Amino acid sequence: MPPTGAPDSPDPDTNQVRQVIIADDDLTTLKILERTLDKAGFHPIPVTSGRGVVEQLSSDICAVILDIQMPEMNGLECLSYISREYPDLAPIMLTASNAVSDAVYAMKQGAFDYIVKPFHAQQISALVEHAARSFEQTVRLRQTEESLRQARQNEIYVASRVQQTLLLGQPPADFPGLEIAHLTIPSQEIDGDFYDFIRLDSENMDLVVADVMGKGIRAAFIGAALKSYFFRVVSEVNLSGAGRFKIDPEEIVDSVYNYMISPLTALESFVTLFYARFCPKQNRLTYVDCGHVHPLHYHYRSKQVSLLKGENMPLGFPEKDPFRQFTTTFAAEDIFLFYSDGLTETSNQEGELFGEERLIACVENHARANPEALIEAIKTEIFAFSGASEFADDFTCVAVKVDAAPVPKELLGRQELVVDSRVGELHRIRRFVRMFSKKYMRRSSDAPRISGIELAAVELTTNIIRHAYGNQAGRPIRVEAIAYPLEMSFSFYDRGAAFDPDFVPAPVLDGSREGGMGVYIIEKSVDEIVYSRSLEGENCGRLVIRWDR
Amino acid sequence: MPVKLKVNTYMDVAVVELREKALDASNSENFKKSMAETLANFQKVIIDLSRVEFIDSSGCGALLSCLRQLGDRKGWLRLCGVQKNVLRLFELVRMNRIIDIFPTKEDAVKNF
Repeated sequence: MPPTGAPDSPDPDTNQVRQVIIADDDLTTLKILERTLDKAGFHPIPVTSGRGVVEQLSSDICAVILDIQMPEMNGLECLSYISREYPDLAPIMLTASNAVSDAVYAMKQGAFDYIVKPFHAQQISALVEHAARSFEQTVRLRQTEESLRQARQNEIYVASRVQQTLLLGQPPADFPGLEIAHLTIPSQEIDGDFYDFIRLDSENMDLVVADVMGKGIRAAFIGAALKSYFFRVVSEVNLSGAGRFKIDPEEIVDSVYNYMISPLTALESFVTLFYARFCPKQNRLTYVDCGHVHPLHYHYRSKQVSLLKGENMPLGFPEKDPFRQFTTTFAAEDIFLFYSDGLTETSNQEGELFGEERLIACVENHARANPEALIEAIKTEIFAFSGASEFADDFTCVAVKVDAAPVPKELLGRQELVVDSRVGELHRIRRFVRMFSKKYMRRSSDAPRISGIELAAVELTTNIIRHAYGNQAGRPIRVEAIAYPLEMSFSFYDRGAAFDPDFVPAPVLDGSREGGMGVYIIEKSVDEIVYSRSLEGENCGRLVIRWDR
Repeated sequence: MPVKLKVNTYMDVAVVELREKALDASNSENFKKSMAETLANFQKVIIDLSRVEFIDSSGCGALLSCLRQLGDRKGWLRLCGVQKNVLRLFELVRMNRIIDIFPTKEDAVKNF
């Protein structure tokens, strides 16, 4: 039953007078509606056109009665405007008895109900009461949803702060022998993924990567606790020991297990983890694997990828075998990639997973890059594959690349030549460079490269004669050739005008220009060209050629 | 340094054999001068580089100069006998896309 109490009886929940727009161009009907709703305790706002409705609409309006036949925007047009702009508000339609099909159409468009003229006053007030209640409920529901969403957002924010600040560590900036890069892409929800680096001494660095089951604050806190136990165990040993680091990875994991097993059981959670110790000096990696995704080991020499596998169960599983560590060796320029399953379990629009094979291919394709670039390439590929900008799971990824072996700098040979600044000397330069290169090249298959060196030497000398010395003869050009086992260099010294390679315009290679190609040819013919000028005003252009191993 | 050239003619085609081991900054200006007469008298010119072991950017520039002078007079330039090292440079500076290169003199003369 509609409330029939005092005029302007407020909404029992909000204590506000409920406003209802009534729209009809027939003034008699409008008057009746106004009186009826006023009596029923609403605050009616009469208008005579659709335009009038639009002008009066606001979020305070809890119901609308629309006559279908109206000037200036009829009832149906007005209805579609309301559905678009005020989706919570469902108007009641008024229609003449011969226009029921319009009313049916209106219902499909989101009207609350319709009334056929002529109507009873009671019928109207009951229907408006009903519509107003429905509107208020919808609004409340929406508000509740919004505050829930905000609470969830807040939790994600807290958890992601925990993760970013507490869980994800920074690699040591300059650990000798290793280059490290890392990446985390947070998802809509927070995982308990974490990684951190422990620099034990100048020769040993530990890396722990782990993934706590579950999401949100709980996972983030378990991760934080676990991480603190790793640091605690390591520092306890360091403090008690004679300053020298002794504890093995398997002992570390065992100690952490003993600290963590009861909280993990109580919280019904578990953790997969991989604990690795890098010792670049001995080219050795020692690790314990507790059910984590298997890190990749790219072998630079064989161009093959192998997986690092251990045999322990995740922490928090009922079974517990003694923790067992494994040892593997690595070589110069090998790459290790540690990652969370969020990476390989990223799916594309067809539901296909990114998978280990794609990841391996990506590592193989970018194996010559530095770890930073490798991780960037993986990220690019994952985004391209998934076509998404957000992921259901976090993914974390750590790439460790073993430094290249230092080039042995044992001097094989050194020779010098001084020529005069005349183009007539070019043949001497060529012969000198050719003889020296032939003598110290690594293998006969390197021979084709010698013509490139000759070419670069001639171009460089010509530039010195023309530009540094301005075609002035009688000035010295000194060439110093040095050979190392894997590298050869030719340094050209002159005392002419300074040269800045940054101001050389790009070559025009369409046949329209006869010059301007020299610097470009030099760059393309040797592995490196370095220009420098000493304080005494001596210019040096150094051509470097590196032989494949 | 003077440049040694030998010019043979086949009908209206001039075949210039460059009898130098190198075409570089030391002789490219003289090469251009030595070519002037041939370029003025013939529309179809072939330069035979089979004896040339080394060319630098100045050499390339000199060849492009010949091409342009002929082009101004609606003539054509062809190269032949380009050695592997020299060809590598032509590819580097994209000369191979600008001047027609033939394996032998006979190939170049054919259908000129």
